[in-house]
Amino acid sequence: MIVLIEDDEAIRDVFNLSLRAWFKVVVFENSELILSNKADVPDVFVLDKNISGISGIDLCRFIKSSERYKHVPTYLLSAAPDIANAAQAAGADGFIEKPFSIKSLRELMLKAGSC
Amino acid sequence: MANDIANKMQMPAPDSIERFFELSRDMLAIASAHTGHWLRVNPAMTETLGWSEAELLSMPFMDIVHPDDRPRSTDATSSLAAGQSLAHFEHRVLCKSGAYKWVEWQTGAYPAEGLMYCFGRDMTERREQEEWIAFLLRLSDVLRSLSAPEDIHAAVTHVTKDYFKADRCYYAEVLDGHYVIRRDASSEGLPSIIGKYPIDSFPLFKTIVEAGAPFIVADAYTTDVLDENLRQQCIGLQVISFLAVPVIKELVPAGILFVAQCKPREWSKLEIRLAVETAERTWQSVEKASAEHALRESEQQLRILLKQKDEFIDIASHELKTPITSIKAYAEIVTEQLEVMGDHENASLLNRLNVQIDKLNNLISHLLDTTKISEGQLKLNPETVDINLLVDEKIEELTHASNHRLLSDMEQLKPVWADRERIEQVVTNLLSNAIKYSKAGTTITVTGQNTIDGILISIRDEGYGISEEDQQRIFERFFRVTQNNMATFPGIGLGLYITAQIIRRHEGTIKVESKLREGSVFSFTLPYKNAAI
Repeated sequence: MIVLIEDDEAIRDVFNLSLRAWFKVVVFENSELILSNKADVPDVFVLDKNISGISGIDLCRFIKSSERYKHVPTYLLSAAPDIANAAQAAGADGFIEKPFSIKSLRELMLKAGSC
Repeated sequence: MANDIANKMQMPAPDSIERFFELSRDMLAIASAHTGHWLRVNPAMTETLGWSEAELLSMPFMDIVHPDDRPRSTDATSSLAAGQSLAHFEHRVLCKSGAYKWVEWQTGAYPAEGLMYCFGRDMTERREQEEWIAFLLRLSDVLRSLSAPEDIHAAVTHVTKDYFKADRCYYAEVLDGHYVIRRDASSEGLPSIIGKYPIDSFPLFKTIVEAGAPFIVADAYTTDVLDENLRQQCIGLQVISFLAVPVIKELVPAGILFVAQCKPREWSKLEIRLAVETAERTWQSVEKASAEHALRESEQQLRILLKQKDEFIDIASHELKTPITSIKAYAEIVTEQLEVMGDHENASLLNRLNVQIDKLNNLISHLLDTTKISEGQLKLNPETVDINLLVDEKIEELTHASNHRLLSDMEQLKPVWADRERIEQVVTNLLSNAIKYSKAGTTITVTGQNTIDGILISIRDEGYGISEEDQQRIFERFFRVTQNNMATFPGIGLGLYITAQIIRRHEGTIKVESKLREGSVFSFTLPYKNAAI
């Protein structure tokens, strides 16, 4: 299962369409369930950097400090060119820069999900 | 005979010595040490001071010494009386005209005779020149540090009032049909006249401007250069004597420097010259300050506009990338499905769509980078980079996407301290340009060598080349080559600008060598070590 936190509907749709053969993609519109430790533990987290409310970076920091989720591979998603540094600073396992090719997205998610 | 001549030459007649006294252009005089009166004065003395011989002999010499200088002069004569044989001093002496002249005296005392022999030289001109220079230096010092017209008005009027020992001084600037007096310097009890006045409300200024030259009134009560109206106005304002200098630029009045006294006064030639110089310098300073002020304002405005533009590009770029991401992904998903269904023709069409989407994405990235560069926010994340590996990967990647022969001819380079992603971007940009601006089937060669303090990478193509004129500007923002045969190549002139900026941020250099129809070589250097990033 991939938990995707992303407020753009088309990106959510693309994730679902391109990954559904391998993963169940669960979309959260906000981070409340994760922050309250009530969300199921997924195989991978993908967090958009600019979500409403708490930022993807802060959410990533929370995940990496949470006993429940910290072992889950977590990726930041953004169009910002400095995403690599932001991801590293937030303790993420990697990043996905928009726009991405679905081929590379699949490769990355399969690799992360099999960890 | 010969002896007779010699004797005559050695002993001139007593009246022949007297001739020097008559002929000297310097002042010569004999004074009584006891009475303090002149006993004899030469013609040069009466000419210089304007007093007749009888007048000079009738009064104690100290009576015509400037009151401020009397202590110094008394000291000198006292030391002579006490036995000093020679005294040297300067003081101001009152002339019959009422003006003072600076005189340098060399005086010898002969106590046995009770006499002082005095040799005096008029130093007024030298003194005035010294004062003039001192005044101009002070004025320059003051003006140099000022950048607001108000401050310039304040400084000039104070310095000028001080120097002229005047009662009032101001500079009236001519601005939009008005006289603008921003600051003035006035003696106590005189009302300030700071303000903005319509030109017609100052008939005196009209007269001054029409004169077009320094306008001088020594005594408003007796002058014939003012009509009755103006005379009464001046007297009413306690302006009894004044020196006014109009500043005329390109036949148009630009300002007036006005120095006034509450009592009659003569204005010397030097004072008039100084006032003219002061008026001109004031005008220049005010002009400069106004121009700089206008420039600062437009710079500020421009900075705001540039920031707004950069913010707009930044937001637009980010907002554009999100829909591009989904368009690209949808196209790829449909391509996959068409391939599965065996519809290769339509799958190929969608692949072409994808290539265009990638181009659009590159364009947006360039705009983003450019914004960051202009904001000084192009951050580098340096690490040890193996350039051989980086170049090989890029060549392999682009070989599949082009119809050119891409060759690598590189020696084993020492690693450099650089931002890997940004250097990848540089190599990609230069290789893509080489591909874009040369015919299919031609060769593109990348060479690399170690130098003393860094590496040198060159990318050579056999393309269309760049004119010498364009080579000068090729790394500028938004610059595009202008040759007609290039017109079919799209672009907005940011790729090489960004490339150059990345290299410069790495403390490296970049250059181009090219000949039309023969090809181009783009070379850049990167230092091995780099403390700047």
